[in-house]
Amino acid sequence: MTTQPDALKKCIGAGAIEVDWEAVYREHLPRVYNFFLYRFGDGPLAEDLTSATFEKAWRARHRYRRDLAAFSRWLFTIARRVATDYFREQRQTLSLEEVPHLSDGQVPEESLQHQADLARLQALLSHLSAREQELVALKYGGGLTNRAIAQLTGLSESNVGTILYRVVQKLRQQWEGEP
Amino acid sequence: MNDDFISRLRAAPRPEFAEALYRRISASERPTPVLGRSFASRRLAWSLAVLGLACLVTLAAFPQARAAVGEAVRRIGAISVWETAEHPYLGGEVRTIPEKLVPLAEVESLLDGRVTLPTWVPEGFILKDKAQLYRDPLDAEQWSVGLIYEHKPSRKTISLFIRHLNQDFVPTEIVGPGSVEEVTIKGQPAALVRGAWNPTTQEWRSTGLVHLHWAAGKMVYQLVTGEGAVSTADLVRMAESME
Repeated sequence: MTTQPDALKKCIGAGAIEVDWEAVYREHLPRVYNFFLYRFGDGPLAEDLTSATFEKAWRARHRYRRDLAAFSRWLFTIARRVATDYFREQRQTLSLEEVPHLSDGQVPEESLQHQADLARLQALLSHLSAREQELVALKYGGGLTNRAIAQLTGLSESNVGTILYRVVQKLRQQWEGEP
Repeated sequence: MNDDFISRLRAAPRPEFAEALYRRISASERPTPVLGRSFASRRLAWSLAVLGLACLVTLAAFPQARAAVGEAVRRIGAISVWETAEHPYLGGEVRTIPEKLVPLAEVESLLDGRVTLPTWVPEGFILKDKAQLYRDPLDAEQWSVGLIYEHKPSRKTISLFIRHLNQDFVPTEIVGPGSVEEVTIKGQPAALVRGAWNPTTQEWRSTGLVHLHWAAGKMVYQLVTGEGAVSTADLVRMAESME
């Protein structure tokens, strides 16, 4: 999945850019939605936070500067702030029991086994630290590269790779060890 | 790194959620429409064209609607104009349809044998390689295409909308009061309109856009540009270079 601003169209003046909003929306909506889905494990909440992200991005679209950041990085910066604001409002982290699961009616074509797998994976993710959860959400939900995640989080690219490698190893052990 | 099991959590956003959010964002505040200066302006022009098509279809489909507007309609050449202060769109909420951009070749094949594109355009304007296409989901023979001629240094544009109607009736353009001037294209009357409907508020703005309407057979044409971008004479000359 590309992180380059394929959807971007025209330069305006020095660095400011006009965005093909429909193309941006089509490309990035699933990525932002899945970032929140991985982060919070709650479909309706992911929709609310995705809405907040795109509405903020739309209002701030004239401030986007291509010479400063790729569009996906700019958008995920907004998404992370939205997530942070949500945490601040909640002033608590979700416990395992509080992690909502996808409702049966949300993805009707999914098999029961698949839904059970999703719920189990969400439960495993909820045991990770906040930083690990965010890295997993950016990587597997947002579809970002390690380099893009490093730029967003301030970690080095190798740090991102190492953390994600360890997280995946740990999750896979739990996944395979707890059928 | 075998991480396939983690990717299983990915899910597509619900289509109704995606559509509702897009509609809400699209309907939010827009900059003042000066065609050729912004993406929003092109959207407005496209919305205008789609809205116009919807009105034409509505007027074609419902005789009572045509009768209701009969007294307010003025005939100009092969089209009619209906001047009204309130947009009489009969479908309730106006929905902005996202533009579908297609390669120019696709539009040219659609137009092949029906329309020859302008052989003259104002100096510096170049036809973009992507065109907008709208097809009536209920009738494949009703469609609308939008072509954009851009003057890159000034970022001004001229949009050419060509609609094909699968109805045998006089197309009616719904415009604001006092906005119409009659001009001629190859000796045939045409309507020059100043202003545009705001597709969100359904209010008429008397400034911002200039558009030229004319029709021949089942083809309806519209040239739209920003006020002051090109002269009226140039718009007419561009229209006259089409066949």
